[in-house]
Amino acid sequence: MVSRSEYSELTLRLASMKSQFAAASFWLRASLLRELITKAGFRADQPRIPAGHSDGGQWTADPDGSMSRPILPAGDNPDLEPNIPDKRPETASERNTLAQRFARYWFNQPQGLAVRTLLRTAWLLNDAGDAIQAFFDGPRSLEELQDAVSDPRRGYDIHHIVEQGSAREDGFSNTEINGAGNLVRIPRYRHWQINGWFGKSNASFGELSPRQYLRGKSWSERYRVGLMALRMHGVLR
Amino acid sequence: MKKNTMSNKSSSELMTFYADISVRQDNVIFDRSNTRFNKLFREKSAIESELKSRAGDQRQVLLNLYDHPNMQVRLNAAKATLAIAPAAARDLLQAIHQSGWQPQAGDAGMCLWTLDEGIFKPE
Repeated sequence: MVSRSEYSELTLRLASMKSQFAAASFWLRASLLRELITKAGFRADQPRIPAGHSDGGQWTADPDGSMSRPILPAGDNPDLEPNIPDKRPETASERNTLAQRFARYWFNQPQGLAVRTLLRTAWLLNDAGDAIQAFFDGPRSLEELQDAVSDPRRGYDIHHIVEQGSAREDGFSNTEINGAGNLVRIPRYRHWQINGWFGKSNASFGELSPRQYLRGKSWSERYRVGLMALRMHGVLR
Repeated sequence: MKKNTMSNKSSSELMTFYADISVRQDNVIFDRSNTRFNKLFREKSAIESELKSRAGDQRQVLLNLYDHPNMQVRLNAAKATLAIAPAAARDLLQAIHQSGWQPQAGDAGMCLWTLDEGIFKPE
């Protein structure tokens, strides 16, 4: 039986823990944002358009005409710039789709644009900041991806090079499926994109999905396709 | 679109439908389920078959989609025209792959690989 005073103390301790958790969470988000800002090449002294102009406050070029970071080719379809709502969408599905669209868009844009959007839409940073940051990872060697499995991180998933579901259904052993050689740690959105690619009908595989195409195939053939999918989706060097 | 309906459409109109279907595929490309994407894939393939069956192989109208602003449209058009314009289609697939615009960039790269490996033999 917990006494009234003990209950009060426990309540206070719980409130304290919640507060510490919130502070740690805020600190992590702030660190992530700072890293993104650094990557974007923002400088506090970069000139801005003076107040009174229609674009007042926006970053502008240095007096010599250069920007602090080279402007990459803009997205080849202006319509593809996702419209991110200020309010957090209700469903995880909506949030995940939006976050992936933004990660994809930002990957091809100056990162400063991403930072500006993140500053405006805290929900996106809070929900998907880690996965978005991971999406910007460059390709790694197979050994690096395999070694990273022992170091799980937010924003990353453990990916099976040979897909586990269909491999299991085709009688491959757990030792093969979950063996160190078949596991890699990769950015979450790349993981989802590759899994999605495996399940989509594809003219390149006789109008079957790659997953259907690989049914009944050998382990080495599955592994070969799995490695190539990692390479083509920007994960494997 | 039913086959009867398709046969009443001009090749140019089918090209417009093809682009529309491809854009809709892009709209659902991040769904966790592939159901809607694959349903659209079947509609897209039906248009390709209809165009191929027409005199002179009318898939050539899809060459007009090579500079469409949507990446999924370009990707589908490139794959669908590999048999009639292999060099141009491969160039476009290479460009899509190099763009880094995922997941189309990955799919374009995989398409080139399946061609080189003899897995994909466009007809």
